[in-house]
Amino acid sequence: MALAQKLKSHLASIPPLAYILGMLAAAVTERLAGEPLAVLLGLPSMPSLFGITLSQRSPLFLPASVAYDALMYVIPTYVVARLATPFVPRILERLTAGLLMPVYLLLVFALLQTWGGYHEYRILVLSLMGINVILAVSLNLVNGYMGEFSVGHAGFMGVGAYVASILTVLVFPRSLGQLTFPLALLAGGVMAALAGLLVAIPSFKIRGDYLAIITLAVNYIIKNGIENIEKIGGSRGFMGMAKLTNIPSAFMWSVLTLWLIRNFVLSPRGRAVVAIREDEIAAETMTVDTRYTKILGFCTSSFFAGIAGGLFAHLLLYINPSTFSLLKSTEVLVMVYLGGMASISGSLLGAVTFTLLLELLRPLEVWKWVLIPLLLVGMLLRRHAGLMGFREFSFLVPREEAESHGSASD
Amino acid sequence: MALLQISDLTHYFGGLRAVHDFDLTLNQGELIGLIGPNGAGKTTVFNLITGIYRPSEGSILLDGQSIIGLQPHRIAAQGVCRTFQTIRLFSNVSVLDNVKIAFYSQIQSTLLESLLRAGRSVQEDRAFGAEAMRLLALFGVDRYAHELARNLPYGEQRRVEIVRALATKPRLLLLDEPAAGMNPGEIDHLMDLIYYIRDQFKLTIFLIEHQMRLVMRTCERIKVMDFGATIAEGCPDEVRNDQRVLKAYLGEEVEA
Repeated sequence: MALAQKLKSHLASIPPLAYILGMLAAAVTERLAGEPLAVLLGLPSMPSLFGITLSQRSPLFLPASVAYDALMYVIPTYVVARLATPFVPRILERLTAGLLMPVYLLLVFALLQTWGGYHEYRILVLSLMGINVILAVSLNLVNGYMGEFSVGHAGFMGVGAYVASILTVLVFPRSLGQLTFPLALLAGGVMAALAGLLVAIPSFKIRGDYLAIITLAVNYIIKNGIENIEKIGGSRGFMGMAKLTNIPSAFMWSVLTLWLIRNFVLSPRGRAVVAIREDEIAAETMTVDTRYTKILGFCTSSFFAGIAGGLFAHLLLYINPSTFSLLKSTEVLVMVYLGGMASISGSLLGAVTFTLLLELLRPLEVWKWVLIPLLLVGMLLRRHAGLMGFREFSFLVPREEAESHGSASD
Repeated sequence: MALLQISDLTHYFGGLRAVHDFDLTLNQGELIGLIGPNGAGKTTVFNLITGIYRPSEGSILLDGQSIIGLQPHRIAAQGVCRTFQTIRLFSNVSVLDNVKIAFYSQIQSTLLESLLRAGRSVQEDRAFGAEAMRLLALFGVDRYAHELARNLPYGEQRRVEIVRALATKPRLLLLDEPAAGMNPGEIDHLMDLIYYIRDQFKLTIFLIEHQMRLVMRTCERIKVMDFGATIAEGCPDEVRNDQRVLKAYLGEEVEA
């Protein structure tokens, strides 16, 4: 017990920047020596996701995978982090406050790109992670901050996916792919926001819990609507997209989304969103235009769902209407509640955890949809606010501002 | 011109006539009380003035302009603010942010500026924070600024609710049973507070109260309601001795 305590406090004494540098060093080492080490340990190939997929194929690979993780990741990270620790204060001293975040982001990006950029499966998982972060944090704006209950997030994601795909495949010249991709994503986001507006106007006309029913219906309308438009493939789906989503674009868009939504919830307008959750009549009495605020929050949320949809379409290169069914909406709900309500950090954590969980449970096939809800229910019984409900990482939301969420910084 | 002019205000809930033929003229700087037994329709009058209900009949003029049909937030932004009978603070939000939310109608920055955290939005937010702290300090509750509102003692929550209402820059303040649940000592404090805010913020105050001590001592004029109707009106002494008022509160006298 005492030893565990000691180890914990020792590990906590190493600054985050040193860990990032350590992990970066480990990722570089793996790129050089990963394959030989895997062969040496008797593994058929380099473990793509910490040995999860290999161990799924045969449990016999589990010990060697653990050894690989220890030798390739844990030890190099620790050693380099330890060595870098004395230099960290000096590095931080030189950086002005405004540069700190960009430097961190750049290092994290370099880490992800070095670790996964050369590996198809890792690109897929990391990009999905980014997309899930966008989905979760945008849904949290409505379900967590505003306290409404939207259950049709995948519908708006579908609108964005189709609009962006139609643009890149049928409208924009293919040679300009990477250049026009942001435009296609934005157009998808705007159309999703418009779809959100169509939902929000009637739903928020009256007080009460109509949003859940209406979003449920809209999710079906969008799915069935697309199924019946033969021009874009109907139920056969739509394909022909170029692979434009990769680690850089997924990273950039998820960071952008996190930043914008964070700014929004910390702003006076964002506080109005929280006020509506707490007491709509009191908010209205305190001069808050509650209807406008709700519509604004909902449209912002659907906008980012649309962006996520566009990224998703250009990652999997094939979409069909049933991709954006209620099951997908439920996945996003799980991420939000797993991570925690009214917390940007929670949605980040929830989306990352959920993406990894899906990969981990892949061999269970359909049964994972029995296990995941059970895990969620079990976790919510123990911690009903989710992993980070109403709390924030201090690197995302400075302590003095955290209370805007009605939350404490962690 | 009167600040608030209400005439023939009538409101039905289905077949029930909750308020009928309510008249009131409030002049700048007045402090008027509204009393009556439970269910007399007092809070309904507040809900009609603040736009939460739309009256069935009658008119409400603020500065000579009708405010009927305006959304509650517009009426609030025009300077009519209220507190609630049961405290309605944003309970899972800090005291400071409770007050900052009330600056909503004073937001100058654009949505884009809020999203990018650029331009006026940051300075503006800082200014809101400073003003909120100033108001909280004025009422001696600034030490709770970073506490969640729901963790405050009851009396302090009442104070914060008044601070929050003042942050909307009202001209007319409607207080719905501000002394509910307070002991005599706290009521004395509250009376001082009411005088203080009226003078300090140049306010007109219209209050509902059951605590006769408070109403009789603070209000210049009192209206008495029973079953939706106004049964008496006048200065505290007149009202105290009015037969209909005594009957409404104490019941019918038994003829010997």
